[in-house]
Amino acid sequence: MKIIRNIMIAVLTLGLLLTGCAKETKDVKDNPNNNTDGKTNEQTHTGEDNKSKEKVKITFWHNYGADKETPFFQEKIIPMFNEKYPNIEVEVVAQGNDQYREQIVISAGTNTTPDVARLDITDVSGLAKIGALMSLDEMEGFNELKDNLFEGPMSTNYYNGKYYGLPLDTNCKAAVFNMNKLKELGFEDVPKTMEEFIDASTKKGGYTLNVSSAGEWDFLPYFWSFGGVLTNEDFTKATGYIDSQQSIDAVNKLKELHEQGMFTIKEIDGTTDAWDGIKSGEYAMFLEGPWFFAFTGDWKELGLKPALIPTYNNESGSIVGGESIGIFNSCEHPKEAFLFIKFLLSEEVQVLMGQEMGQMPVLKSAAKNPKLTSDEVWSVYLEQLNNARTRIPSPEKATIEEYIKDAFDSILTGAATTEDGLKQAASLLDEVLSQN
Amino acid sequence: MKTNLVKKRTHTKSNKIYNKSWQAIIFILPGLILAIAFIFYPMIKNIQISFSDYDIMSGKLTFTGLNNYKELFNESQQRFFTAYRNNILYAVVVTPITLFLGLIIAVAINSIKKFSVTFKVIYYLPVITSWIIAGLMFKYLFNPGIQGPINYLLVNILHIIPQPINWLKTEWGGNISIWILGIWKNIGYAMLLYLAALQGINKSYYEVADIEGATGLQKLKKVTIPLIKPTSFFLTIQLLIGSFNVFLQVLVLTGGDPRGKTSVLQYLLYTRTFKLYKFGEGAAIGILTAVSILIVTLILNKKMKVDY
Repeated sequence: MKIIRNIMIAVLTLGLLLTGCAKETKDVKDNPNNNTDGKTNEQTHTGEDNKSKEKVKITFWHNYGADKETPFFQEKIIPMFNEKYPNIEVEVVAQGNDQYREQIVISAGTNTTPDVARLDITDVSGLAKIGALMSLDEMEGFNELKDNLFEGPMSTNYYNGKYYGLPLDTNCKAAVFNMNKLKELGFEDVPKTMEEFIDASTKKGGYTLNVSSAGEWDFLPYFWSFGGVLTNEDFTKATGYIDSQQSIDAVNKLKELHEQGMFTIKEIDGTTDAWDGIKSGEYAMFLEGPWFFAFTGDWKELGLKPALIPTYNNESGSIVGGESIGIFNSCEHPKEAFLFIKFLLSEEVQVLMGQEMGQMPVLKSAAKNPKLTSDEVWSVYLEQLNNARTRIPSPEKATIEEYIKDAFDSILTGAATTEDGLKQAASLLDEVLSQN
Repeated sequence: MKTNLVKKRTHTKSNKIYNKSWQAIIFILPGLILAIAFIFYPMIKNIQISFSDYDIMSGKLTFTGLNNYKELFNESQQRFFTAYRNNILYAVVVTPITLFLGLIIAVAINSIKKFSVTFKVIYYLPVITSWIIAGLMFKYLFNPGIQGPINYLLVNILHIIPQPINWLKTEWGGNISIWILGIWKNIGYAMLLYLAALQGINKSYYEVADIEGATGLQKLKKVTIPLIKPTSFFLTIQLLIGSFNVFLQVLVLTGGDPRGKTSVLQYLLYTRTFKLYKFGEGAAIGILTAVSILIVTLILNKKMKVDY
């Protein structure tokens, strides 16, 4: 028994020693200026600086789709980078979209973060808050790059006075119309205003407008288009905004359309899926991102058409989505990692990624490129991007998302009055925003 | 001479113990190393994190006492208490119904001579079906519109309710859906264990009962149920522990909607940890779950007093 006890003590001690070793490795990694070979970053070499010097390796995680995006990125984009920077080797790791966020959090906790990763725009501030990401403000060429990027997607990377990422691709929602259904409603072309669409739909009867749920991504474009406001401009206060009279009016209008049976919310009504319904001609309109057309090869044959979101009281509002790219604090070669980011944000690559991977460019110059502006889908989305708004950037985005959805859900299902639902949301949001 | 003999014997005896210990160690060591790496170390770390402000990047733990627990208890939405309540309700509803239906089905299958294997397979299939697939199937069944089979049945066929119910968007509709999924998924497991227990009962007990003129119900009450008590105890413990580990059905079916009213402890742990990066609170939920399971097991152990 004594021997067993001794062995157990030895194993436990070994375990503790191993933990200690792991910690030591981590400490070395925590300082981005230290390299494993003892050199500082200033002593390492980029391909541009000196092509004959030692090769540097960086790891890049992404969640691109497996069918089209990943092969193109791996087979076209990476070789282009290798040609330009032969001394920087990029190890590309396709993580897939499922549990991607969780994978990143686990990697942060186990000291296995990549050097660079593609991140959802709403995750950047949260990862910055826990100290996972490196601020990029001091990187060489950051300011020029920033000036040439769209402001909306750029702002999603801002946290606590610094930028912890750069937008990599963006997207927004635009209207998707079924022209056959529109003809039934009496339209020859897409309606420009929501008023005329509502008028025609009400006369005809039946659901014509569909949204999947009352969650932020689905519902906010409607809320904004009908005049709703979430917070003040600095995203620090919700009271007086989300519960203001104009927000109440916006939600009441949507509630009225829902009760009239013109506007259906799939998650609440259990109605046909938006994609299926628009293709079959059950619905006349819904709002969706550019990927709808990438996934619907026969959209023209089905009589579908992308268009700007119709205005209501001369206003409309879309929502910004997309992905950013960030460098992790554990990165041993931040300069080289930033060169990789700069390469991905170059006009040539942004246009290529737009054309071949369906990624909407974040670079202003790339968005003006005739290859994209002449495209009938891209031209609509690039124009719609001008009035697309961002969700509240916050490390507490999950809580915010939950509060907003809860408020809309309870109002639209009749569990709360519009005034009470929005008032409660305002007070809960204020609580979270004050912690930012 | 005698002393030498005693010494020799003692020496041989200690040698034997020494050799036996080494043999034991060889077998224990791999398991012990794995247990330390994957059970004891994470367990100790989890306890530490629950009492600390955990910086995930540096691994630094700053002791904050009961702060994480206080945050959980004082949160304005009271989501912890709702989740805890839902776990208890799940245990109270799902455990007895699963045991009861599992036993009835086992007794029925045990009494038939033909197709018993077919029935066993049919009832066991849900156990091996993925939670995600089962969850998606239930999501379809509980679709909020009239297209949902449950709503269609209740509104159009049975005319029990006038309007379709948005099951997964209401507090009790969502919870009921989660319970039904839990029961459907676990019946096969209970049935299989009960079947094994039933087949282990000596037939002479039933013969004696028959001679005494006992009815079928009396035999079930006085013979079967007392003799399968160890199985019932084991299943109760298993199902109760399982009740505190409910997660996937909530993730797939309701996502905690509406306003966290259908959330459970493990789902809350997941959202606190991976969505809000509140690692300390997540760890605290884990500890509170473990303590709850321990208390339940101890109480049951004492109350049920099973003689194996």
